[in-house]
Amino acid sequence: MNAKKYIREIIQRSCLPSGERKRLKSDLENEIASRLERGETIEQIIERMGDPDTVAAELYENFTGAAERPFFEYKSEKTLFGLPLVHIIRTNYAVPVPYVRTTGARGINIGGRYGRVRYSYGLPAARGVFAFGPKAKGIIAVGNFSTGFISIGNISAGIFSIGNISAGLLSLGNIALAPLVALGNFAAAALSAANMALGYAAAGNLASGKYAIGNEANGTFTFSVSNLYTQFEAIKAFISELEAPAVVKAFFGLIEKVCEIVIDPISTLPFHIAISCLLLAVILALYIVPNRLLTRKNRV
Amino acid sequence: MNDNITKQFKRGILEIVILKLLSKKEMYGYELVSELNRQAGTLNIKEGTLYPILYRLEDEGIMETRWEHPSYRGQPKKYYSITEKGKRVMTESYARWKAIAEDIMRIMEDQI
Repeated sequence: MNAKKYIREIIQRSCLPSGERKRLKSDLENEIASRLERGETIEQIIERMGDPDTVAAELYENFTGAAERPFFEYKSEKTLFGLPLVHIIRTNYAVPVPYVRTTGARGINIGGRYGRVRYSYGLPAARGVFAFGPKAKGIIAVGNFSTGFISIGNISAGIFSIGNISAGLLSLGNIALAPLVALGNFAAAALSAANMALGYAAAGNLASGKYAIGNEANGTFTFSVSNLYTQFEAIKAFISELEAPAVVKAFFGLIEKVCEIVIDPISTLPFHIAISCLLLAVILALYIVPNRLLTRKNRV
Repeated sequence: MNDNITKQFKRGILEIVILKLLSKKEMYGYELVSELNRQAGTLNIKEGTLYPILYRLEDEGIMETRWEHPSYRGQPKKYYSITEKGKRVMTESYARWKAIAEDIMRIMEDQI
């Protein structure tokens, strides 16, 4: 571990407000630089100061007076690519969050006097192959803010990203942004399908792109749909006759399949049920597994 | 149990000790930790204990800081020093602590 990483770990695990983090960062940088100047190695410094979690816990306790930090944690001992296999961080709401006094310059100034505000804290990020937490980073990351190869979260970014606001190569979300494919309420991507879709090829309620199919379609090659049931054959003909790159034709081919399902949902009912069951199983697993691991750890 | 008692002791007395050291000369973080551990090794002061106290004292105007940038090479250093208010607080706190310590000593020695 180098000095930069050591300091970052301490700060992230300390759960202190941003103002205190800045002060602490500059002080720790200062102190470690002084020790290095005097010939100590980073290993000796870490040994003297303590591991990041111990230092962070002590900082939190001395800063707030609370013995416990406001999170539960599970980190598996098994690692893969240098990351713990599973890392879970969960807010511990049972820890009373203290009030701190702040000045006008650093927080709330009430009538030019000191004010007392609820102490706001930042939790450390969960980092692992499977990472679950308010902030999650990993190969599969699930959290409020998540980044990873497969990323699921309120705000998520990754190669495959699913979230309220999501960005990635392939993204699905309320607001989905991607260079390749985006699906969502509002989607912008090379290939996008959404209530409001923008892209090179776009399909949706409001679709805008070079190739567009939708209730309101704007672009160079467009098909405006007023009634899906009566115009389905015309849509199929439009797609098959369209002179467009293969990837666009394939994308519209999928859109055609979706239209087919919408028109005749009964014929694809088994498929719907299978997909719904799979999604339910994934959601339950994402909820149950982290909970079980945390409970087991805290029981131990 | 012993750990808890030590923590409580530290909380009570560290501020006075820090202020006393800073009243002699201004110091930077590492210097302060080293000096505290040299003069009061039993307290075993770590960064996790020291910095929250320093920030609290600074916020209360008991202490102030300044940055010193080296003229040639090296890391700029943040120096902590005591203010006039800090000197008053130190004197008052020390007098109070001394009175408490005397009372405690009297009780403890009687019991022994």
